[in-house]
Amino acid sequence: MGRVIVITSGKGGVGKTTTTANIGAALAKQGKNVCVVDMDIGLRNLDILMGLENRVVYNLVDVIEGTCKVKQALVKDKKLPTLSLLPAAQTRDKTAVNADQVKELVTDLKAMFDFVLVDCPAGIESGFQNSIAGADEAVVVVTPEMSSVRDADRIIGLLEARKNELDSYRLVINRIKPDLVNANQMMNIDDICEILSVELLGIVPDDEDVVVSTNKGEPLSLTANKSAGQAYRNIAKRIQGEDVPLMDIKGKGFFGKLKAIFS
Amino acid sequence: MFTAVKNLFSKISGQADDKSGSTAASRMRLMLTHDRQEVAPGVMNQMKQEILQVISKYFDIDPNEAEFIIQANHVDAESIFSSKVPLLKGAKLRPEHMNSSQEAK
Repeated sequence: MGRVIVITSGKGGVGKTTTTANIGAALAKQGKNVCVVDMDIGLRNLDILMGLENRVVYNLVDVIEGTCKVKQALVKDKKLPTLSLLPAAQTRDKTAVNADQVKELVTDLKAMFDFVLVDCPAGIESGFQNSIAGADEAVVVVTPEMSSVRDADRIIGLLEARKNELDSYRLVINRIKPDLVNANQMMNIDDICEILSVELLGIVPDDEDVVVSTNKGEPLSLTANKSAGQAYRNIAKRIQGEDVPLMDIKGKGFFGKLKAIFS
Repeated sequence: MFTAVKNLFSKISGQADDKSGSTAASRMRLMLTHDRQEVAPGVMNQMKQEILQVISKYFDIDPNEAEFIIQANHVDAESIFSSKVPLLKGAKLRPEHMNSSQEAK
């Protein structure tokens, strides 16, 4: 029986979908059977990040409405046979499904995969409620900005209210800009963990390669040797219970900045 | 010209006059206190003013340095209200209250 992990944040644009694609790809590369589920019904995007947008035939709503079987809707990754995507519907909206139906669906997926990662839409309404239905664990993605931290706190409050159903919820701090943190112009990791009083799963540095990898449709946890790619691989290992130390996120430093100014 | 050099230097060294990271963290702590308690910040301020008024009837205080905190977290439902109100240097109980407390004995 697999584990269902919902990736959520409250605020939009903090990197939920990127996090889902990268952790999913890293887990699959590390030998696990993984299904990533796009729950953002009406605003499908996970397929783009994985480079699978041209292979989508059926979607999650089709499965729930009985138009097709689960296996027919799953899109296999181009490179990793252990990675599958269940796409969201693009022409429907969040009201097309309810929490009980989603719970039944993820329970089916749990029997087929080691990990089911659910990419939650932004907000705290029905899309969020549907996404956490049937989840065993949650990953809260936050960026070191006040609006993101505030929304994460709200989400954590809602997750805490369901603690009987959830085994754990942990934090991923995304898009850390080391130069700003070093200059104390950005909230640091300790501040955020203390403020939200929640266990830290991982930290991800701000990395321009994320844009490039999205353009290519290849999660960078599969290709990049360092920075965000490495950070996502570390997170995937921690999810499997491995004890991996937090990445050392360093800025360019004095000479690096000097070089950047004159280059 | 001088400012340009100064800006360049602060860019290189990562130094700036105001450290907005710490500002953000302390604003965040206060904001989440209100959010979690579902107390509007304005109500908190009103209460703070009233409490300070009462204390200042008895002691000389520095209202600008007073801190009022509700500690609340999601993990345990218990919350604590605490306040720190610094008295002015050498401040003692106001004489009029000293008399009444002695009379009470």
